[in-house]
Amino acid sequence: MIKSLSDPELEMTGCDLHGYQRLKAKCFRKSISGYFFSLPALIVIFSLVAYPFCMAIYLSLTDAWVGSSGNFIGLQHYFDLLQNEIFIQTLKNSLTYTFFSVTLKIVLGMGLALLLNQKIKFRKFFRGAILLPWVIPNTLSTLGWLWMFDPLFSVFNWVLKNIGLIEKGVPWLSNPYWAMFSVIMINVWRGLPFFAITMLAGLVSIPKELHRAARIDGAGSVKCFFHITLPLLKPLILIVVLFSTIFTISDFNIVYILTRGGPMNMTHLLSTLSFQIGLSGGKLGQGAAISLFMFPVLCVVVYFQLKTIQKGSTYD
Amino acid sequence: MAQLVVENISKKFGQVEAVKDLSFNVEDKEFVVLIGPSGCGKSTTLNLIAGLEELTSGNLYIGGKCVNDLHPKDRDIAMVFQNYALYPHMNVYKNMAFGLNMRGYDKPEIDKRIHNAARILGIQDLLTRKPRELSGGQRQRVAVGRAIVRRPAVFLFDEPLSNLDAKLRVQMREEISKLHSKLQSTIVYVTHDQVEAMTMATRIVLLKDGVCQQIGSPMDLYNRPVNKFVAGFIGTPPMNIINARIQYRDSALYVITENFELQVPHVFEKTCERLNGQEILFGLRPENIYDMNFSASEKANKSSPFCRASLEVDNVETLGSHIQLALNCAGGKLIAIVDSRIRIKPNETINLFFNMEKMHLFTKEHPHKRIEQIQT
Amino acid sequence: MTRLSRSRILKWGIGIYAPLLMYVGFALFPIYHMLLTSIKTDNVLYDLSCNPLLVSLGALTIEHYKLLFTDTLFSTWLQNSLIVSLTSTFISIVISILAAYALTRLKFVGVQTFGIIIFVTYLVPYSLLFIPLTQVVSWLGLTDTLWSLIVTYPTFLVPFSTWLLMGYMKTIPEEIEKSAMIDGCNRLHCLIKIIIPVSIPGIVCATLFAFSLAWNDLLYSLVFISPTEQKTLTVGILTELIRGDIYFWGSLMGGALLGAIPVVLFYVFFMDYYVSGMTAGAIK
Repeated sequence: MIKSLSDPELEMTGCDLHGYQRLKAKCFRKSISGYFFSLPALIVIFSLVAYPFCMAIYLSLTDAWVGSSGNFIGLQHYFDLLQNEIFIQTLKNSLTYTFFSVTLKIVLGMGLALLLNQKIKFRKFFRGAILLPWVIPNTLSTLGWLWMFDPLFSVFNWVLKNIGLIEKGVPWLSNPYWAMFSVIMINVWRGLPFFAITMLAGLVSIPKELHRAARIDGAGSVKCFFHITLPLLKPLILIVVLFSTIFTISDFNIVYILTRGGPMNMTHLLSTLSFQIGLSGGKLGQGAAISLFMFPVLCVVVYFQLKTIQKGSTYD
Repeated sequence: MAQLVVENISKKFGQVEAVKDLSFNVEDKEFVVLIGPSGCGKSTTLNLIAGLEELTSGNLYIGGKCVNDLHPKDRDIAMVFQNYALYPHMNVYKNMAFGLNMRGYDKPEIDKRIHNAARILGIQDLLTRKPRELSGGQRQRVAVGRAIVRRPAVFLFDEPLSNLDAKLRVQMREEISKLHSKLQSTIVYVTHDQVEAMTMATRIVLLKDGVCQQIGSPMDLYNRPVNKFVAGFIGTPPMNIINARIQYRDSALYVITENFELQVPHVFEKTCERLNGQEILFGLRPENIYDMNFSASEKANKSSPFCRASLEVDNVETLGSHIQLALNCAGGKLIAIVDSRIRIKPNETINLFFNMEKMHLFTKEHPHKRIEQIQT
Repeated sequence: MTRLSRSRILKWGIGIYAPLLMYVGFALFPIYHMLLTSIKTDNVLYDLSCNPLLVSLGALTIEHYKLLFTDTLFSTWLQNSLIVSLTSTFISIVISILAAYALTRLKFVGVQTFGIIIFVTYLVPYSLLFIPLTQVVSWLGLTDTLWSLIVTYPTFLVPFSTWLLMGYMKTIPEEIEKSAMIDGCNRLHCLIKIIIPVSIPGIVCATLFAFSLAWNDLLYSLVFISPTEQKTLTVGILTELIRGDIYFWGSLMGGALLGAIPVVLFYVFFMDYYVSGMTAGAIK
């Protein structure tokens, strides 16, 4: 952008700015600053996420142990895992755990949101009380549940026995099915508020005119819900489900604190199994392979959910 | 010396050319309006002048200095935005002081300027309030105040009135015009509203698809539009433009359309001689089509019978001071403005007089340039 | 009472308040129980004939809380957690503000890719990375120090905070920045003087969430730190109050409740920010 120097009337001052000012102006516009601003985040991501991720992939292809770097064995771990009973059980556990937790959270969350959407008194109190399970660090609240499920002193067993519903205590953590039930229950207890509050916000954002129009058209409450409310909330629900699924599949805290994966590996999730084998057991390569399994599973789940979001969102 | 010189500027966003080879000057104390339909490049041009976008090619001079590579803050400009852009976390005083603070003026000077501007705009009582406590009109005034205190070489306005309701818009239009004469400032003003352009501008730059169509005073564009687009854009309701043919009939020249034939007036004879047999576009403003009973009845009745036509009415809009008729004609509707005493209903026929001396002729081929009138 | 209002009372009472109260009971019961447990004497606690739902005044004690502070390094753990959470939150928020600004405002080649990278990182679960991170941490010589956590926490704090802040920054009109630039700001000035003050609600929100996430971490502190004095609260309580087969329930519950207090306090004072943060991201 060299201007022509032939016009005598025009001053030259502007156009022969010395280099620094020119550079500053160019920098400002070309937004080289963009790169500077993103640099810290990129450093964190590349050094602490991307690089370890690649390293995890590499580890999973070796038979590394703690202390030794092991030899390259290709996809051997993966083949072994797929034939390993415990691993297959873990996969089943992960899917069961995630499926039931998320489903319960959606259904109960939606119900709770509908309740909160009514004109109730003390709404702030209810909202505050309901959010508490989500706010409390789940490592700490899970300890509370651990106590409540204690084989000897479980408060639930005490109450149920005294009411006369049962004779012996429920084996909350020692029976595989009850153990899965227990971890799911804690996950739902913890995650339900998030669903409820988010969906409540969604409900509030639906224009009231739509419901009024539906009423005039003759729809009752139930029809209103299924034909108007639910479709409009679909994008929101799917986003929440997406995030919840990701966090539930990769959950570590609840299972680790409550059962360490037992009894008989019936509550092991990929993360806890990987911890047990990789760190407690020292088999880094195998541990890495187990935890990496999460990634394709997640990708598949995310892919399907995103596809449904694309299809389902009729508004915008 | 011109305050602002825009010389052959172009701006490309990827493959899209938003502004193509635009040139115009803004003299000292002028009020130049950039106008055009959406997407015509007027806001982009303003951003280029301000330095918020980088030129693809061309030059910009403000106050005689070449500002191509200068940061916006060094260009001696101030800008008022469509949505006011007031800093929400600062009160009015701080909003107005911000730019001056950044430039290092000392406090007494800043104070003096702010109170001066506040007085001119009538916002002295609002100085301690925050933007969210102000109405739309008040916010707009603060935004203007923020520009005034800077005392720039050029004021840039980017559709400042678009967010206001109709009544407020009219009021603010007046105020901006008064401000212009009071402050003797140089203004470049972007709008899509041609009423604003016509009432406030000393000169108008009309853009379409990034290309300048015409530069001139409001009356220039109204009376001598250079092409069909300008003719149809300026003026409310817009000019009627229909397909027609120039033809000799019984040794007189006529403008022949499917529905009527109108005689070419004396002043246009020489022009139309050369167009005999050609297809052209015939343009006449609605205010130049009269009813036979009331509007300019004398003139109408003395007029040649060959300047009249009967057309069927499609729609009647009563506007109080006049009536706007939509008339059926081949290829669309003709709009006529007639006296409010006319009583007529849709599907009835009305006799109309066309003031042919006010006609415009455009070429049928793109870009539909105006056929210049040859003086007799 | 007319029939109409009676059926209304029924409808509201049974249909709405009852389920709500039931749910509130479900939500709060564990906390109530934890509280009771932490103030009951051991005798009463481990006596199966005693009602665990209530406590008689005679059975109240603060010995469990005393134990926390005398017999364990609870106060040290609390301190460690505070240091780690505050520092890593601060670092992450600063990084996120810069990144969010770049993604929402600055046009540069690769901005789309950068956005996708952030989003994908958000999806990479942190329980996937801990094995290789142990190696990285030991290379950096940070094993068994609080710095290992301060350095690794941003991996899950930054993507989330960036995403939250992007949502807030997107709502700021561009013209405010254009105006600031004409007034004399360069990009950094714009960010500091204009964008940040206007985004304060979003920043508070992101800070709260980041702090809670950091405070709650178990896996990384478990993996990177062994010496007792360096442990954070969550790990400390879990490992030190369960000695072999003996669970010091009273102190465990007391410690858990005390540990939850900072986060709950923030929540109580900033509840609206929490709610808007939860919904802002989802509704966008």
